[in-house]
Amino acid sequence: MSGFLESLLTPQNKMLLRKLRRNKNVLLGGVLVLIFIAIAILSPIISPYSPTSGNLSEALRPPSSNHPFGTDYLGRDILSRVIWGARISLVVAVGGIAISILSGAIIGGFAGYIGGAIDDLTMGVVNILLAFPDILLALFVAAVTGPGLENVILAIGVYNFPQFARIARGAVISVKTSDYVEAARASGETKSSIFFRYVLPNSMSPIVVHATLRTAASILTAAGLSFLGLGVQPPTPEWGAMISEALYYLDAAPYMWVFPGIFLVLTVLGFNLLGDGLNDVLNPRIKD
Amino acid sequence: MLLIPTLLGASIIIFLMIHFLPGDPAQILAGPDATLQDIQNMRIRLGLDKPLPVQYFLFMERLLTWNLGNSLVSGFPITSLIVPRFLNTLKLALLAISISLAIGIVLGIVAALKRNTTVDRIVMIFALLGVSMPVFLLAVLLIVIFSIKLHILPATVIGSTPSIRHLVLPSLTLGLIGAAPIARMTRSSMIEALSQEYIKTSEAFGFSIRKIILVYALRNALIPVVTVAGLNFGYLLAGAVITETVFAYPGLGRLIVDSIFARDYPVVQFGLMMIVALFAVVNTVVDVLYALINPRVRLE
Repeated sequence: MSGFLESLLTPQNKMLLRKLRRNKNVLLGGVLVLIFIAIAILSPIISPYSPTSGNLSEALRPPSSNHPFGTDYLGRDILSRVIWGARISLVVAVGGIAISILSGAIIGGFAGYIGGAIDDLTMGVVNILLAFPDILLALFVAAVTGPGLENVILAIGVYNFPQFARIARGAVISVKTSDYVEAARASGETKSSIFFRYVLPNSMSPIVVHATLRTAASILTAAGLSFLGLGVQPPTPEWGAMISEALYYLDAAPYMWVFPGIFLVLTVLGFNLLGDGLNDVLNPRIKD
Repeated sequence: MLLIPTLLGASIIIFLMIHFLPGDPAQILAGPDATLQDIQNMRIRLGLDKPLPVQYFLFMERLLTWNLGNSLVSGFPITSLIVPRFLNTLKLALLAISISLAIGIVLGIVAALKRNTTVDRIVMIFALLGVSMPVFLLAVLLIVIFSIKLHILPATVIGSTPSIRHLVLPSLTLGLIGAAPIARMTRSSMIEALSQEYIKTSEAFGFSIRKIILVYALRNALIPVVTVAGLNFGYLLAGAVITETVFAYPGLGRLIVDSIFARDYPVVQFGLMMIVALFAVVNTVVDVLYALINPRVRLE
């Protein structure tokens, strides 16, 4: 199967694939990310109990063979909640990043390509959005739209938008002045066909690297919103919300915050490692 | 200077978002049993019946004359709510950024000098964990270790004036998280600085290694670190929102979160404006500093 896929690749892509495989960060990060995605997709199958209903008579039980991660203050199985939590984090991060990439790449890329007053205006707005320190923009959107899964996705999308718009613009400007775009222009191709056929595809690598790193940050931010009570609402199993519920049982039931904490850190670590590794491979000028 | 347009723009965005995103503040504040007339009265009380540009003008007038009006929930003047909280957050942020810089720069230098050794790897793993660690989880860890197990530091602030002891855990939480990116940046720019020709030359001329590192390499290596530290200040202010909530620290972040839950929109608006302003001022200072240490950059 992989042999067949490899035969489809160009020699350049084959070399890239080999470099990616040799990079330790890509490998370790990739494994962590794949495990996370697998848990998220398979959560209905692999979770042993319901994530939302519990038995009060079995509340706050430490880890045992029946409940490997113990039970929370409502007697719900923590393992099942952690497993379903992966799905919530994946949906929020992928949804939010997708919104920001689409809007950022299109708006930022177009501004960079067109230039002039439209570019100045767009970048003015982007720079103002960047003046909101990180999670505050997400917090603000979540506060105004109210809690709930869709609103968290929207908040994550808005908070990542300025970053992607800026990167897409920079990438497009550097590509647009390159020789092959000059050549396409000289051969009479229209502006929009140049943009979609040459400029956008060749601007992808910084966007891919950044998307991976921003996924890590977005998972943290979404968990932070839910921790504050402004994100996904109970009884939905969400890692940040689970840790917030554990605040009253920090000493009595450490398993309530330890397990969601470990999964949250490993997931974010996975995306950070993968992003760093991809950056090393795709932007080889940065060497140390 | 981009400070003024940025702040103006931010004020427009904060103003518009509160008005255009779903959820009618008048309806929410009037309560679930409110009649249409009640909601209309609330709208007039909030000034929401006036045209948008007029409302924005009034908002800016209150901001510029520092006459922010009263909280919708407690009735206290917003200035008297915001100012002490703002100073508490500033205290926390300055302490945290000092911790970040101290730990981050030292670890970064050590890692760069011991490049590709076990020491370097351990430092880098810590830095990576720091970048991947949620602020609230580190806060929980520190509370469990220092307050619950060792009983040496208080976990939460009682009252409105935090003492030094109350500042330790929140600032350590933020400082440790902030140290991670600074350590990574210091390491990579130190490695680059050490590989420059003039370092090798001065080594060949017999200057002491310590002097070379501390005086020549570090000075150049710190230039990008200043930028990262400035950016980090923003993350720190944002992280303070969560940290202040965990530790019940009476800062601006917690005030904003509490006001969001209480639907106290004016307090949210002005509180956010204060944080954005602080962040913008710090960024401007960083730009100026950057130009001062790096003579190749000139302010336009």
